[in-house]
Amino acid sequence: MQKNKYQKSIFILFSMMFVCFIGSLLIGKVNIFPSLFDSKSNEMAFIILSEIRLPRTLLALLVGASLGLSGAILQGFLRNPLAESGIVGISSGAALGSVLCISLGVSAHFSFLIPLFGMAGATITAGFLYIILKKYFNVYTVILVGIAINSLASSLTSVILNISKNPYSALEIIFWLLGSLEGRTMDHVILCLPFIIVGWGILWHTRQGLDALSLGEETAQSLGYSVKNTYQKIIVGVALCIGASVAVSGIIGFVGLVVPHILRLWVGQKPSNLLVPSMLGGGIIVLSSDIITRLPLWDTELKLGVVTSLIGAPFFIHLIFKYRKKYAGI
Amino acid sequence: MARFLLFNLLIISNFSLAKIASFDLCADQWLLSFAEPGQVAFLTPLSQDPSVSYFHSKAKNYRIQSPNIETLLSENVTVVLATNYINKSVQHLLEKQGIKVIVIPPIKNLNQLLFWANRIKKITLSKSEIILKLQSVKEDTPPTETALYIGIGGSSPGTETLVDQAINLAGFRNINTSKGWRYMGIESIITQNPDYIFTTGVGTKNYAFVNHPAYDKLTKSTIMPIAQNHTVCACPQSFVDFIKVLKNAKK
Repeated sequence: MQKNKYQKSIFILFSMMFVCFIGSLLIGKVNIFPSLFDSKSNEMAFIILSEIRLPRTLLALLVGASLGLSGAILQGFLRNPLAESGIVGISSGAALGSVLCISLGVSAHFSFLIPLFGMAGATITAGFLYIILKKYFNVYTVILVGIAINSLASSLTSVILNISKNPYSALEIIFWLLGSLEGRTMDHVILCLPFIIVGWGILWHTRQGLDALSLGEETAQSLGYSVKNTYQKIIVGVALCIGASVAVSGIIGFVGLVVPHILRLWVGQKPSNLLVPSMLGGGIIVLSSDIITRLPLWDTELKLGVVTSLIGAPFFIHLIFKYRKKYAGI
Repeated sequence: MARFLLFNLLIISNFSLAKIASFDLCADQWLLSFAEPGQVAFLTPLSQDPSVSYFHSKAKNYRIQSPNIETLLSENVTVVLATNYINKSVQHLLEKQGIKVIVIPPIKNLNQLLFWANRIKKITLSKSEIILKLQSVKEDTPPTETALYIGIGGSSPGTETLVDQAINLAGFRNINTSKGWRYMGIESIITQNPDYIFTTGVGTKNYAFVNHPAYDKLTKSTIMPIAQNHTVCACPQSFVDFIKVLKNAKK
């Protein structure tokens, strides 16, 4: 019965994601739908589809799935309902790397350096976390050190903004931090895809350890799962997929936090059951938010991070009030 | 006539010994266009930044200071030139201390540019001939080619902007017909396919924009990088030179 419900939810989420995928390819500032069937103008429609909309749709899926998966894993591992990739500081580290690249001015001539610097920032942050927690490990230290690193990376980003001599470079940094998938190409997809796939693979391997941990650390250890080992895998996995995601898209908030909460009410509390639905849910939210950013309703293109937060925050408040009895203490 | 003479006399008596300070980058450009180093108390540090300041090399002959209230008061400045970015409370505070604050509003067309050029020329008693050059700027034959300017942050000027007027005066038809600055997006630009795309070339977004593979495959636009310091601030010399650069691109 439980398995049926899980399969049904996967099917529904997959269908929703598919609809969003098609919608993302067809909706934009220019209506390409009629041109697709017109032999005179279908070359333009095809190029808009393949060179502009397909890369950003694929990136929205990859980024959304990474955010959803990392949120589900971190909430399960840290047993903290507020956990997401931001709490361990990796998103901020990646953002710091990219912001540094913009402020140094090199990105103006080699725009591909932005994601590379972002990935370097995420790797350095993850390495730092790894070294500290290798010696002094427990779940609370993970959260506290993560918060400290997050604050440090955010402060350094603010320092760069603060000392930026050129107001236009500061403007560009602010816009980048708001998150966007506009203007991304297949090269961006190729650049981040290997890191994201490897990250997903590593995180997927932690699912049994997470299930065991949900019974308590001692029980997990008696079943042969090491908390420290699981943590190390999680840090590497999150660093790879979130580092690569933030590096190509900027900071996209609320997805990793909200998606697992929504889906937990649907597929249950078992951490391993939450992984695939969270990936699909993350993909749906980022895809639909990206569609909203380019609706021809506004003069400018809204920033993706702004839309995900605008959707995510009120929905999260709604969930808290609707299900407050389920969450003791909230 | 008598009123006009009296007005000019008042201006001359008020400002001939004025120690003028600039409050922001665009005010820097106005002072660099008309004032001699001896008349200027200081310019802002951005005036020497080549990416945003049109007169960056000329600015090296002037004193540079950060324009905060304490500096303005300690330097015994009598006139502060600023653009719209000045904080109203700072303006009131300066005026309370007896400092004359001249705020130049956003300039949207050639007439407004001429008006302010005449006013700053009078204040600085300048002998600059830039106003004659401004007056001689005329529209060429009706535009045959289309163009788009992509500025900072990827936005493009439409009607009621000085850059739009420069595009028209250079003999192009601007494809952005909306009012003010507007973000157009790759898809809209590709479908409108302008003959020329002028871009600041500075900044990741613009660079990524014009290097997007869809441009190569679809548009036949000539993409011309133009230094962004031409259009960051409205000032007579950069406006005249900007039109020249656009016309040269056409050749």
